[in-house]
Amino acid sequence: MPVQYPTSSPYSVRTRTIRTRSGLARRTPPRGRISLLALPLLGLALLLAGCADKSRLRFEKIAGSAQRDDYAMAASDVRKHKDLYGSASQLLYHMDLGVLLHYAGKYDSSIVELSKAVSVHDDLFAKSVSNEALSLVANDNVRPYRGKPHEIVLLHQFLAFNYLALGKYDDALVESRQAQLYLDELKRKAGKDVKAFADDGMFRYLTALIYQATGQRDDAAISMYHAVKAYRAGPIPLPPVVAQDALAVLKANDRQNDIQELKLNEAAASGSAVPAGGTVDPAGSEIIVIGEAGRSPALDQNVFWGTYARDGMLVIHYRDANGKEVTQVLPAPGLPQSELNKATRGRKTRSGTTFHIKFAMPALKDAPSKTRFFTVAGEAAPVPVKTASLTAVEPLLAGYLQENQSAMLIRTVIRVVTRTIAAQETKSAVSGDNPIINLLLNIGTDVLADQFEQADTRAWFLLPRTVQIARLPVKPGVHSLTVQAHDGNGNPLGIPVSFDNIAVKPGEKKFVFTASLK
Amino acid sequence: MTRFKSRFLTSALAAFMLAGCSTKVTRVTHDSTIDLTGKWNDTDSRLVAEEMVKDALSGAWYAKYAASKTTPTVVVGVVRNKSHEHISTETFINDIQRALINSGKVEFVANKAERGEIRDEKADQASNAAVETRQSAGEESGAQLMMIGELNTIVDQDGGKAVVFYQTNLELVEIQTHKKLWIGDKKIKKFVERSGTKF
Repeated sequence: MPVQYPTSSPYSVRTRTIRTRSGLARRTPPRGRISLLALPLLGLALLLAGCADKSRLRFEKIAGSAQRDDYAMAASDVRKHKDLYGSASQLLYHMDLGVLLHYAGKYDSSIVELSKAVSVHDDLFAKSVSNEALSLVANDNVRPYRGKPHEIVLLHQFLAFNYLALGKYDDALVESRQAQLYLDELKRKAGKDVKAFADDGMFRYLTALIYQATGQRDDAAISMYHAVKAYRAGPIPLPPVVAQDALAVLKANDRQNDIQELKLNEAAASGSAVPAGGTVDPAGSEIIVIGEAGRSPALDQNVFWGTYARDGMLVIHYRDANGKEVTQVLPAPGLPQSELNKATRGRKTRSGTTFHIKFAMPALKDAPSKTRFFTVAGEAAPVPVKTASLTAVEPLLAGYLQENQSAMLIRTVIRVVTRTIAAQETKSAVSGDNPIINLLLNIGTDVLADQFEQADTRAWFLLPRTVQIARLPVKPGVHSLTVQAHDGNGNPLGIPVSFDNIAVKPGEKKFVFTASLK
Repeated sequence: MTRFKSRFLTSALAAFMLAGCSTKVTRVTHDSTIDLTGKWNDTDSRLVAEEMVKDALSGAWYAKYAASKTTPTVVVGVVRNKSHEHISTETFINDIQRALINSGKVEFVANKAERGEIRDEKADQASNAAVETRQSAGEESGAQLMMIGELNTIVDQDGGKAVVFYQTNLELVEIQTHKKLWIGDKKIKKFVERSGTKF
């Protein structure tokens, strides 16, 4: 006969003894008492309710102005929607604001914001144990965003661009050195993994140009050497303009061994047509036009959901590239035979029980844009010069996803398993006599657990699709030029941008920046 | 006191204590050493200035001027930052200038940027100021020596540990002959440790 207990404070410890069909008595947790695991789950629901895909919201609210090349408006949008970043994405906030201010030509303000981003990144060196633990229950969006390796290199690169635009070459080199320290640390962590991102060709090449601008010939040659090696080891093919320039610089510095080792004569000869600007005298006066073209991809999530039957089956649903829902039935680890045998003996068994599962993984999402290159014309370029691409963000982002796929999958599996167990505990704890309430509570628990599952789709999507360059040898003096953006078919986009009164001293390398994200 | 009241009072007390910890200011002396991040700071700037002033005033180059009872005139040229940090070299250069001027042994003239501004002022006076108050053009003091230099760093880093070596070099160059009369240097080395985890 079951024992009755007085109903007093819910905080007191109570147990209930029941008799099963076989006559054995068991203790069960009291009905209606929330289990310890369910409480954090409910608490997290309140905390994380606002985390629903803020990346997508940022993309929708900010990308529009940026795509119209209205960078000042886009920067204003970022400041207005600061709440969409939250405390976990401060790095991204300052990077987005900083790069928009750079595109708008406000180099001083861009330096302030991007320097704050560097400071945030430095502060994030120490990982919070409690935060990491929380992310294993909730999702990776609660972790502070530390930036992807190529983003951090580009962060320093854009800071260098700002300093170059202001004629501060030494400060630009400081950024190059900081990026170099970061890459050295990446290389150390990568160890023997040759596929890991640990160097960047564009960064090395532009560092070489800055060394040329400051008359440091040896450092320029070393950087050019490393630029060629970095391009060859990475996902971006060696641009012909870099091959040509590297050959010229290494020849001027009498580094024949490097030329032979890099097989530069063949590379320079076999590349596609060199831009009409031609190879520049490393020590001569020139105007270097850097163009930021198109929009880099963002990240979206691939969601997989379904049911895991403990007897050994997994039914998974997902959407294919066309948005059509696909269902797959896969074999999965099942229960041991001993568990299956229990049912034949009339004992309670876990056979026939199911778990609802859902997990999400980040995936590339293309951002449509038309700008592919620029042409430079005007007094400084009597024959129009087409820019050449130095880097593309899409292969770098794709490389990052591939490199980190295993780690992301392991974290996702741990998180899904932890949450699934917590959800099952919750369902058991809250189950009562009323089947309708039980059904609603069970469905509610599953929906709640589902809400947590969001892939970390944060990315610096305001980066340009490609970074372009044109080098214009000029005589010392005051010059002017115009820059026109083009689509992939060569059609002009928008109105040309004019740059007047560009004063170039003897031997000076003057940097000019333009952007078209449309 | 019931357990509930006791817990409530403890929580309230903790809340008040934590609220009082949000911002705390302690005034310290200008020459106190406080290292927060391991990066170049005011202490490093002060150490460089002190070392350079001491070395410059005791250098053999000064003897020639002392013997001829003339005070050398110096202009500050470019002090390059070749390090991996954004460091304002003006802080220790200004300290050095002040110390040398106050010693009475060296005179400084305005640097290139400052001269440009002063010349603009003279041109403005030539057009607008009363004749008797105008400062004449062509009366500037030419410098005999130029102070130039650079700041370099070497960083050895492994995870959260780094050894950072700063070397500041300053030179006095005779403008007439391009001879280097004095080279001073100050080395600073730091071991910086950062924890990889926190609660």
